[in-house]
This record gives sequence, C-alpha cells and structure tokens, in this order.
Amino acid sequence: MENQERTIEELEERLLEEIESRDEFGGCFIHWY
Amino acid sequence: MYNLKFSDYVIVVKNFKETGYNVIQGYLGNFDVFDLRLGKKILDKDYSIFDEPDHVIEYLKKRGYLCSVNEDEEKWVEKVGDILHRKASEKYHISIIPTYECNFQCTYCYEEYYNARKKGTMNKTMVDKIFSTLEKLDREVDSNIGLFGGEPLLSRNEDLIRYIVHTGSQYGYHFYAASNGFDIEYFDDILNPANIFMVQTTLDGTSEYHNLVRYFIGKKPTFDKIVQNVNRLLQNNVKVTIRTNVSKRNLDELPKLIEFYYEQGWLKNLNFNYYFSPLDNCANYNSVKIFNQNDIYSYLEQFENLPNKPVEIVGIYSNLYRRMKQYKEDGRLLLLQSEACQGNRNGLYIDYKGDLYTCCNLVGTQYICGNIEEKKLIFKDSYWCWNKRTVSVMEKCRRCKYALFCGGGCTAKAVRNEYDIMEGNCGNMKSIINECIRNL
Repeated sequence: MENQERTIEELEERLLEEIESRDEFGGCFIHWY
Repeated sequence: MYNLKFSDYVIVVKNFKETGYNVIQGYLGNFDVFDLRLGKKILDKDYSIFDEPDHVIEYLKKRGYLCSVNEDEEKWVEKVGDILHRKASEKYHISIIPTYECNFQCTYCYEEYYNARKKGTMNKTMVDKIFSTLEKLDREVDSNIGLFGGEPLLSRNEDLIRYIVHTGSQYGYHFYAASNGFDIEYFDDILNPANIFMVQTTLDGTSEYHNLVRYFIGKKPTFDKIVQNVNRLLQNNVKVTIRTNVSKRNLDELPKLIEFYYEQGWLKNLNFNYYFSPLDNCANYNSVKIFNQNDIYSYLEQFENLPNKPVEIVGIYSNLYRRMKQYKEDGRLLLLQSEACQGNRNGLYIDYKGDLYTCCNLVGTQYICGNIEEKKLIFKDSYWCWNKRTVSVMEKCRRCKYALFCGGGCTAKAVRNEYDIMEGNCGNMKSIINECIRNL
C-alpha cells in the first residue's frame, strides 16, 4: 500500500515474530488466559 | 487527496467511557484511540476529513485508515490470513481421549446424545503407538497435550492416565485436562506444574442447582467434592479454569457463583480462572433451548460491582477480549486468527481406538477425519477441508472487516447443520467483537 507504514513483507516479518511468542493453548472448549 | 478513500476494513467503536473512539485497521492490526470529533468522521466515512491538517491525513494513511482508491484490500485480507494460518498450522495440537466413559450423567451432555462409542478404553499399546507416531510426524507437535473424554480422570483408569502422562513426559509433553473434577484425588501425584498443569472443570451453579444438572451416576451430588478438589488443585499449583454451562434456567446462579468464588478466595489466586458459556451454541441436540453469548452478556451487565467485567468472563468474548487486551498492552499487532478454531489449524483429538477428530463437539460420531497408523497419521478428505477453511478462501469473509478476529465461525455448526463448510457463519460475531473493542 502506497505510503503505508508497512509493506506486506514487513508485516509478515513482524507478525511471525509476534506469533512465535504467543503463549496460548486450548480452544473453543478449554479456556486459559 | 482525491486518490484516497476510507478503508473498508476499519472498525470504529466508541470506547467504554465514551471519551473517544477505539479504531482498528482489520488487516494491518493497527490500533488507535481518536477523539470524539475525528473518530466520528472515520466512523461516518465523512470526507470532510480531508480538511484536516496534512499531518493528520498522513497519519491516517500510514495506519491504513485511509488508502488509495485503487487498493485491493481483499487481497490484503487473503495474504495476512495466509500468513496467520501458515504459522498457526505449523504444529499439530493434540488431545487424547482415553475413554468416552463418564461417571457423571449431566442432563444436557451432547456426547450422551451423539456419541456412538460410549464403551471402551484406550490400551497401553495405543498409548505407545500415539507417542511414537507423534515423534515421527511431518511437523512439530505442540508440547501441551489435552486430555479429553468422556471423563479423562476416572479413578478406574488411574494406571492408564499415569501411563499416558509418564510416557508423554519422556517425550517432553505436558498435559491439560477437561475433567468433571470428581476423582481428582486419585491423580494427586501427576497433578502438578510438570505433568498435568491445568484442569478445566465445571460448576453450573451453587450447590443446589449444580447437583440437579451435574450429578454422579445414581443422582449423587457432586458440588462439594468438586469444590474440595479445586482447592486441592490450587494447593498443588495446578491452573484451574471453572466453566459454567449457561441456559435460561441458571442465569441467576451466575452472580451467586462469582460470590462463591470470592468467598473461597479463588479470585485472588493467579492460577484461577472462570467463564460462562452458553448451552449449546453448536449442537441443537436436545430440549435445552439455544442460548447465546449476548444473552449472558446482557444479563451480567446489570450488575455494577462484579470483580470482572462481563467481557472478561463470557465465552467467546473472554477468549477474544483477553487476547486483544494483551496484544494491545504488549504493543503487538491486533490480528488474531484466520480460522475459527484449532480444528482448522491442525488441532486433532485422538480417541481410544486411534481415530482422529477435528472438534470436541464431534468426537465419537461418524465425523472421523482420519486415524493413527504406525508412525503416521492417515487423513480423510474432511480433514483437509477443515484445514483449508480460513477467511482467505471464503469470499464473504474476505470482504468482512471482522474476518481476522472471527475466523469464519464454527465449522462443526456448519457440518452438523449441513451448510457448505466453506461459507462463513457469522452468528453474533460482529457485536461480540465490537463489544471487545469498546472495552479495550
């Protein structure tokens, strides 16, 4: 996107890094926060 | 400025205190709070916004609230959805069902109604087969493994459960369990942070109501025993979540339950969580009237002094809100998921026979999606269908600004009701997500 602060590649890099450190388990039946 | 337009993927919600607008760019994950004047212009897509100073327009452009008139925004949703899905499906997320048998006779049990495999227990050969197979798969396995049932923590299966946990531990796995909470004392040695580190159990109300709907075989009461066991688990530093299945019949139990949790001292314990979930949002299986998340939410809103806001303790709200809040506080992108649940990202239930299911609502039914064979998993077409069901491939979802929060809606619901599973089902997700954002 023109003039946007991130390209898709930058977004991908940041998103992958952030997902890596998500600490989530369980699902729609078992909840833990 | 004439080459700019408002993005179609901006979610604008007046904040809880009504002092401004919480604004999210739905495929870039940007979050901002704008004052009432500017926020309203974004909400209304009011083109007088272009009279704002250049630096404001620049900022709105950078954050993706304004974009080029030629921007292919659907393509962005597709790409971001693919990234999220690729990462979320990197691992298998495994749950083991040692048996479908249970020592409770809950009045509303969906497994009692649907499950055709009520008798039978996993043998140790199957346990060995499962762990040796997980070791050899094409992709990594999440180190947290669920135990599900029936009732996974039955006293008569204590040797088997101990065998599963000890064998799994040798491979580096830890366990969590969805249990009715009755036979807990038989598993004291494996209920600890290193083995079974978390247990979700259920209380449907205070003693009298709970014992009417969740009783032991022969209608024996269970409330006091479960409470005693929750205390035992917390003393062992095991994380505990208490779920409450809610229908119109037990709505008035909810404030009493919260009061009870407070009196027990559980609300001060960081290892304790609770939530209320409607009965049942997927299965339509018996005479219990379908009840939805919003009904519980509206009911709880009337109480002013609850220790938790409704958005923190009602089913899907709590799941989405707590993640959004955490990401916001950590300065992360607010992009949650491109699938509705783990069943769409390599979540698998392995039952005592070695058959595979994608969803806890479908276990023991004809909806088998594969089975475990020596050193490999054999999948049916249905598994691949579930696995590719993301908002990136669903046209209606790709056009929706809520897509990367909602994930396309419950797949099991589509299966049960024989909808096309590649059609998103929205339910009340729009209002649920708005409410979560309002509270950020």
